[in-house]
Amino acid sequence: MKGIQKYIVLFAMVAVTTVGFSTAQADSLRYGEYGRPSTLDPITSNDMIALRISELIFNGLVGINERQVIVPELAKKWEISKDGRSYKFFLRKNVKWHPKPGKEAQPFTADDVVFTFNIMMHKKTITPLKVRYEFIERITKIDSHTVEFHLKRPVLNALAKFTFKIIPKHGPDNSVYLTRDDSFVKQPIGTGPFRIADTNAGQELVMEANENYFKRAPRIKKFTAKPFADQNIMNQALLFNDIDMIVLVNPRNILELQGDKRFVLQPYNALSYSFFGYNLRNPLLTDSRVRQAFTYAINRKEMLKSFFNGQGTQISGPFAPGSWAYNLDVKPLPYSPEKAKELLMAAGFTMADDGIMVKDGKRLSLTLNVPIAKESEAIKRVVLAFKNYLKKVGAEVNVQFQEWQAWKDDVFSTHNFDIVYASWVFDDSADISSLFHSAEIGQWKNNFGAYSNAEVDALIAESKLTLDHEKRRTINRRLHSMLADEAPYTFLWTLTNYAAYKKDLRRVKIHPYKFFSYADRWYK
Amino acid sequence: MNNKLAYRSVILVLCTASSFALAADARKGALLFKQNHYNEAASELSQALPTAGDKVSMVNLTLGMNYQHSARLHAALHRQAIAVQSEYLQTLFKAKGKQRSKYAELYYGEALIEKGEYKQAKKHLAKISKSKSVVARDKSIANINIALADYLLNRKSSAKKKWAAIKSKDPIVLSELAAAYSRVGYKSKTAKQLITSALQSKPESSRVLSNAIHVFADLGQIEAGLKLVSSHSLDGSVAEERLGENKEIKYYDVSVLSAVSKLYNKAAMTYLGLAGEHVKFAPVADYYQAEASYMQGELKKTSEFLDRYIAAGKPAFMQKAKQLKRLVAYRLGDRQLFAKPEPDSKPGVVAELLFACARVKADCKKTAETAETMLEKLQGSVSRTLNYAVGEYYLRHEQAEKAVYFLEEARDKSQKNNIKANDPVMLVSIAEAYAVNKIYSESLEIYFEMSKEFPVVRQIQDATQGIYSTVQKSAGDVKIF
Repeated sequence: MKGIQKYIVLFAMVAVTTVGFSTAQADSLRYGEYGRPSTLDPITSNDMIALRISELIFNGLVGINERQVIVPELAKKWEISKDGRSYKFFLRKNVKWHPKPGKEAQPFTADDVVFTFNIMMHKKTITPLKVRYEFIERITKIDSHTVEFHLKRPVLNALAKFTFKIIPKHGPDNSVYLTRDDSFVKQPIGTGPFRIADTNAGQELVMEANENYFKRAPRIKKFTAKPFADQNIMNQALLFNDIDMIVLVNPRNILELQGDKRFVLQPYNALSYSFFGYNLRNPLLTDSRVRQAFTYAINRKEMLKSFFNGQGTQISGPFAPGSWAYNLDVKPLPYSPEKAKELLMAAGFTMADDGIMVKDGKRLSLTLNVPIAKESEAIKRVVLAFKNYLKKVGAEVNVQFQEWQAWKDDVFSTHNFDIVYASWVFDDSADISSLFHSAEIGQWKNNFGAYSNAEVDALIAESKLTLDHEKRRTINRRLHSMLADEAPYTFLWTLTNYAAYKKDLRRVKIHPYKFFSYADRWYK
Repeated sequence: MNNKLAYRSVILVLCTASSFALAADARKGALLFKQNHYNEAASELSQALPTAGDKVSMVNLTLGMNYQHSARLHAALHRQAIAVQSEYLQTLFKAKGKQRSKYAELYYGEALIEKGEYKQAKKHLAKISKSKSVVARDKSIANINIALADYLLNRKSSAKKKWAAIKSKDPIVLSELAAAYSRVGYKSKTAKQLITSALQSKPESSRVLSNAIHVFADLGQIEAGLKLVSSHSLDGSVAEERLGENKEIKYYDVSVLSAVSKLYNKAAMTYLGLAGEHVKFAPVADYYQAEASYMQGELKKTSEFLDRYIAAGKPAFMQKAKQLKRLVAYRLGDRQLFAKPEPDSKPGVVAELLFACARVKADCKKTAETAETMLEKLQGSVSRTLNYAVGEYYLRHEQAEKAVYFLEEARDKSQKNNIKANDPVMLVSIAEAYAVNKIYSESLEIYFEMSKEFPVVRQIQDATQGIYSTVQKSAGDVKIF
């Protein structure tokens, strides 16, 4: 019997390999992604998939190496004025943009840097980046390969902020401001180690090595991003040799991959967390007691254990536990449906006959928007559990799965939602200003729930102004405590991040946030 | 040193067959010990002792082993706390500006004493002692520690004079004096009186608690010490400094970790000694007492226990016992012992050799190379142990990047930070290797989980966060996922 089973499995493997999957090539790398972003440029995009791709295509003026040291990229050197308000960058002269189809490659110059900054900060440009660069007063072109940034005030880690990606002046159709309708955002060109070769190969995004890359031509010649809607299929694709790498392994597959000698499981600590975010434009959700009640109503510990094999950590506030900003004094609220009901009653709700709470004639009935990119088995269970937990305390939740772009439109553009399930990923700076500052309420801005609190605004402003690391830490601890109390989100957990790749892929170093920062040195 | 495989057989006995006769709390305690939940295990096993009847030796043995493992963990945490606290405190007192810390140098001086750098410690403590802006209590604490450094530098009369000059009635200051006395074995009676009185006046002060644990451990008042440790989380700061409305710094006592480690080690000796009275458990008790004696620096005693264990001919800890003998010989001056493994050595033997090399930072390059070659063909738990040994070796030989690679291979990734699945001492090494590589978030994640069982790691978390916030360089980006 065992022998027959073995043959069946073998046959299935061969069938899957020959019918569904192709075989990876020696100098190419195919990696599994969680979807296909609608924009690929570094200015309008706001998701992790696009961030990883733009890391392969673009460069900043400076970069940050594995040892947290700022290193030259498009700028070969820089000078900082004594008062910390002027940053002069001397640009490389041997850099060329990827060629546009059918055209010659153009040289990179100071004009591109000035153009990038100006288009990024233009009021009509759709980007979440503006808040990060409000400290820059203006940019001046000194000569064809020198630019100078003038700051409104000195800021902490200012040099690191010049890692933003530079785009070409001759790139976008509209040279004044950038929107999601510009053809550049779908097929951008950069200066990076890879250039986009084919955006129409089914759902895959194919990139080719930039043989003229100013550092040195990458050893991987073809880089393909292959989207998967289902995490289990992505895992199977790795096991059956269809892809070489998974950027984020489903926690349920870790055990299986760990036992397979063909693969390397590499941890990387992306500072991320998952949450249920509330739309405070809905009068039912404006009272913080209601939001707190929802947090008490759900058993996060149990959900983490049951749906993610305990591969993660429950959190209490707006920072990841691996961050320097996490307030260790604030503990996650315990699971307490009784306390949840108490809070809802205190907020003026009464239980109706159908088991749903009512206030001022309005039923506590809400819509939960979940992107399809998140439609893994585990996420389905999470949202279903959320719905059931809330029902027990008298809140009705209607789950609505949406295609990724439609979800983003509803959440970031039209704000047509009551509750969302999502995750944020942060770089090391743990900057939550774009998430919770009231100035960041608006179309395509990150404060999609319209949370507004003057004290939080003041603390965020102070943390941006200070040059004192310890003061900034204290402020962040306070923000953590306040936001845990105010509950604009139900903060859930940080999941364990592992990349998995084949053993023949060498010299793999992974940036915990941008992922592909060092991919130009990888080889097979 | 990875004891997991070796003690598994002993634990198996406690948890299964012969333990059916044991009370439920003893079985639960043994299981918790197996799962590395040392604090909970100690509590369950202690409760089981009075009713253990004829199984009392078995419970004593488990309790002793549990305390020894816990001592080993706290010693590892102590080493890591010294490293991160020193780095963090330096950034604080080297900062410029009006809101510069006045007190960081006091705690830096204390950390240097823990590190054994007494002369340097005195320099920093002297600045606190002379400062006009520091309050009397902290000046007195600085002076007590200057004297302690003097004593440890063998300037005993100078130290005694300085201690005699302390006239404070502040219970916190007097607890510090008591701990200093007990640590060097001076005026033990006075130390006991001072700490008893300080505990009555300030029972919740973190500094008094830390000092009391030192005194109880040094004076052999083990039960009193254990009672104190089990009833406090020991995660509190000893002082907080407010600098303006939105700047607050917390300071911790690094020595609390060495105090706890010392106390647990002595507790281990006590319970293992009792277990050793039973002929069946004597060999294991001997081996563990050798480990405890080695940790206390008592090499002669270590050898005696090891000789007895080896003579008994029990295989469970034989390799470990032989390596421990090598360590004793090495510390007594025999530098030839770690040259290379014997031909055809088994992976387990090579691993133990590397663990031993790592402990004394002996140069065992050839052994490490042999291990790496072996690892290419190995799988399973032996592979994990050898990976751990190679990683540990590189970590202690300042090759942290290499260390991360091997330690990660040793880690059970399906339960990444879970102490049930991963030896907590190994997790501390992984955290240390990441911190040295400036990947602080990985280190913080480990301690975040560990803090649930061992809240005393809070000072490591706080200092690591402080370093990370200063060192990190990034643009302030955030993306939806």
